[in-house]
Amino acid sequence: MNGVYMEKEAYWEFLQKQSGELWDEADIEDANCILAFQLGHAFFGIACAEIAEVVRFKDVMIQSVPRTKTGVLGIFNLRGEVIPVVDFEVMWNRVTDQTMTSSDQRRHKRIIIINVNGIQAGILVSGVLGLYSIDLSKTQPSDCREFSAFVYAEGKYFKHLELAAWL
Amino acid sequence: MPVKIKMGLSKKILIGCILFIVIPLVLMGYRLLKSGGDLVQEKLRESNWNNVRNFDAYFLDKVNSDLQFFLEIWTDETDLVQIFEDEALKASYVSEWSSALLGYPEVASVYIGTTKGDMFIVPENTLPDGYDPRERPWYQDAMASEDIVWTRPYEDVVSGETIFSLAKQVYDGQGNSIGVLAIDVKLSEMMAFMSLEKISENGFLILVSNYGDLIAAPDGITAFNQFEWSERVLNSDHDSFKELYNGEEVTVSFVTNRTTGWKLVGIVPDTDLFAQMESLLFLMIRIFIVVAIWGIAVVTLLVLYSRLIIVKPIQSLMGLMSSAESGNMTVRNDVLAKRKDEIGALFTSFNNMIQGQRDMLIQVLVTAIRLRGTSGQVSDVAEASSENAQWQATSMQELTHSIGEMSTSIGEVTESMTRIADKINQFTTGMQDFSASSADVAQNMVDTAEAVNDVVISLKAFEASIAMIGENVKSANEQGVAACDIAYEGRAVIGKTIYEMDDVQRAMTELTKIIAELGSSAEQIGEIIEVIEDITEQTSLLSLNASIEAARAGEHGRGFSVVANAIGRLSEKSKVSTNDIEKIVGRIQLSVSEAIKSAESSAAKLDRGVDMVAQTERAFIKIDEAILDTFERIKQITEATDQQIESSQNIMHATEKVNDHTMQVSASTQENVSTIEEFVVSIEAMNAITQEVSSNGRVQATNSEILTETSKSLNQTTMEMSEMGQRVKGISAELSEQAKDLVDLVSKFKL
Repeated sequence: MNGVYMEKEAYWEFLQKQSGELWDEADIEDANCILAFQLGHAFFGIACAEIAEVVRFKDVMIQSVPRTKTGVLGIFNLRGEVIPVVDFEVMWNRVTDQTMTSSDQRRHKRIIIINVNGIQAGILVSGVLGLYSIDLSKTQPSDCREFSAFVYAEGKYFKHLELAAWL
Repeated sequence: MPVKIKMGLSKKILIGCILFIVIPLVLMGYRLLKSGGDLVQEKLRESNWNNVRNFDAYFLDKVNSDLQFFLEIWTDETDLVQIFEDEALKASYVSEWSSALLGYPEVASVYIGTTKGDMFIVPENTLPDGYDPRERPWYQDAMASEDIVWTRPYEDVVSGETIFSLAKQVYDGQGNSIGVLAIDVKLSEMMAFMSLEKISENGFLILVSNYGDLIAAPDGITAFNQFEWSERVLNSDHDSFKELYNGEEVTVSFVTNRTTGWKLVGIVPDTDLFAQMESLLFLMIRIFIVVAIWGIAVVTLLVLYSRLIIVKPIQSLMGLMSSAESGNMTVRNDVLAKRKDEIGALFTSFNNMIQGQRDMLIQVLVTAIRLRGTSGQVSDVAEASSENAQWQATSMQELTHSIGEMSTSIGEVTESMTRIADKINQFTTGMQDFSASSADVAQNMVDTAEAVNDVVISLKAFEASIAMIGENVKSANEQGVAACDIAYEGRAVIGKTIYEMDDVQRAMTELTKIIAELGSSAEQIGEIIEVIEDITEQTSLLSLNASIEAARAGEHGRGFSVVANAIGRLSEKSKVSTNDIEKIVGRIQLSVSEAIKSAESSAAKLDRGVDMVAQTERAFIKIDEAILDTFERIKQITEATDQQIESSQNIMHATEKVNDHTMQVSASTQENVSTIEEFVVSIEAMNAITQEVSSNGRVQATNSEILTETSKSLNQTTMEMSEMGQRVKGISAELSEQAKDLVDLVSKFKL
């Protein structure tokens, strides 16, 4: 994958290929399941147990909140619940403002609603790849502050995002 | 397919509780009983031993230390040696000792024996004759030591009782030994005292000296060495062990008194210990039974409660899930959703999920039906356009054919025209010849009247020439009639062409309209496709969320995971189909715009064709007019020629007679020449017109060729359009099929 974002058709083909491999296996274990997603052009994963659901970025209206940390985009209303949304790319100084991207990129943006220790929050991501079953034997720990480990799933390494460290 | 439940949650909880509560409780109780028994026995033995020690500390030491105390303070008196001389001093000592020992019934007497062999005893007793204190064991023992000594039991010489003594040396002021002071203790009193002290129901105490002499023991025990373990007691400081006494198990505990070195032995039968232990055991068993019953009751209540609050809702959810799995999307449970706990939340989210899925499916169904309708419409439009195109193609072919015909006719016209022109040229040449001859005649007439014969000859030649002219004129007339016919035919063909052209133009306009409609339909399809894409994306997302939910639900999510995957796959399929449709619609739009362009260029060419046809028509009208004119002139020529022939014959007959009229003839000939010249001018004009017609015919032929080419290209475009219409129809049929599949799939769900 060379470009920052794939072309629309190539992206669909990629998703189809990924999902075709993925959804034929219905035995994804709870503990070894991660949701893989893209932040910019890096791949990350979050444990399934920490995720409540995934919503489309274009379906929600985010209200900005004054005097918040850099990277906190604001809050939005999810069926009566107020959910704060975090943009890790802004928080890690990768880009200055992610909301000003092209409509095609906006179309693939998703907000992952996480639920860790009763705290609900949304994470803005560039795209969601799907549910993966990770191979624990090939997981390598990392001392980088952004993620805790490299996890191996479906022939690809993902950076495992330890959410508890960011809440 | 419903999962068969072999072991329910409540059973699992029950088994778990039994495994983790009841069995450990029983094992623990058993172990407690066992080790507790041992421990209690051990503790009882220890307490037995402690009793012995306590007795040693509080009784023996107390008695001994009191007596020791008296002995110490009394031996410190340095004036003791003088009591044998001083009666007053003796009396004071007697009263002091007697009063001091009043509280100690076991003390038999206090006495002093000097190194000189004197003896003084309180209370006073008569000693047997020859009594020498220096020979007594207490004196000898005390003299060997500087501290207090305890003698072994011996027989008192006065009373004959068995006693033992505490004795110590007495010193004078200079540190010289002057004798021994001793206190006698009655063993019988000690025995009585000891028998009063009981350490248990059937237990008793034995006091022995460090030599094994029995100092105190209950009745029946006469000697300490009657026990097998006596050596063991004498050889160690303190201990506790089990032994057999009178055929029953006893615990023997003993200690050594610190000051005297005597052994105090406690013997307690085990039956006493067990008697105490049994009551304790009963208490423990009672507690254990109460705890066990309480535990079982708690477990049962817990299982019943968990069954009520967890298993029942899960079973209900399973039922709902299995009916949802079989396609019934109307299931929901609002009663359980009102609960304010995890089950309530689970049911709320389940209801929401089913509702959402149902809404989504309805939307999919509606869209699919709309899609099917639209694709049918598209198919209709495509079919109509195809039919139109075919009809147009037929018209085009007809048109081409007509144009061909017209072209042939024009060719013929041109050919005829050329021929007319040739003839006219010939005629003109003849005319010019004639004109020249006429001029010559006139001149000759004017110049020579004599050459009338020549004139006659000339007139004959002239006559022949006129006849030839008449024939030529006749031929020209015939040709003119033919040209007229051909021109008429040409006009008719042109009229037909104009009519066909109008038809083609109308068909063209209609075609352009249909193509534009097709374009707008394709755009509508594009809009619908966007909606479908949006729905597909939502479906995909929903399926992803459902998969996450299923993964979080674990075992129970399996069934639902299958549904979620099916929806996911469906959305993937629709995605692919939508993509295909989008591509096809794009191609259709491109083709439509091309078709519109080519139709427009065809229309422009057609307009030019129409213009040319109109021009041709005008040329034909001109030809017509010219031909009529020619006819008129030819008529005039014929008339003139006839007149001439008549005149020349008249001349011929009258020449010989009338020579005078030569001038007249000359004048007439002049007139004739001028007429001929006029005629030549007319003929030339006609010739010019004919040539124009001919050139127009060529232009027309070229035009008709262009027209043919245009109509051919139009025909090809129309064929392409027809083919495209067929393709669109095929694609829309495919789309319709897919939409139908989608509808079928969705209608499997009960909504």
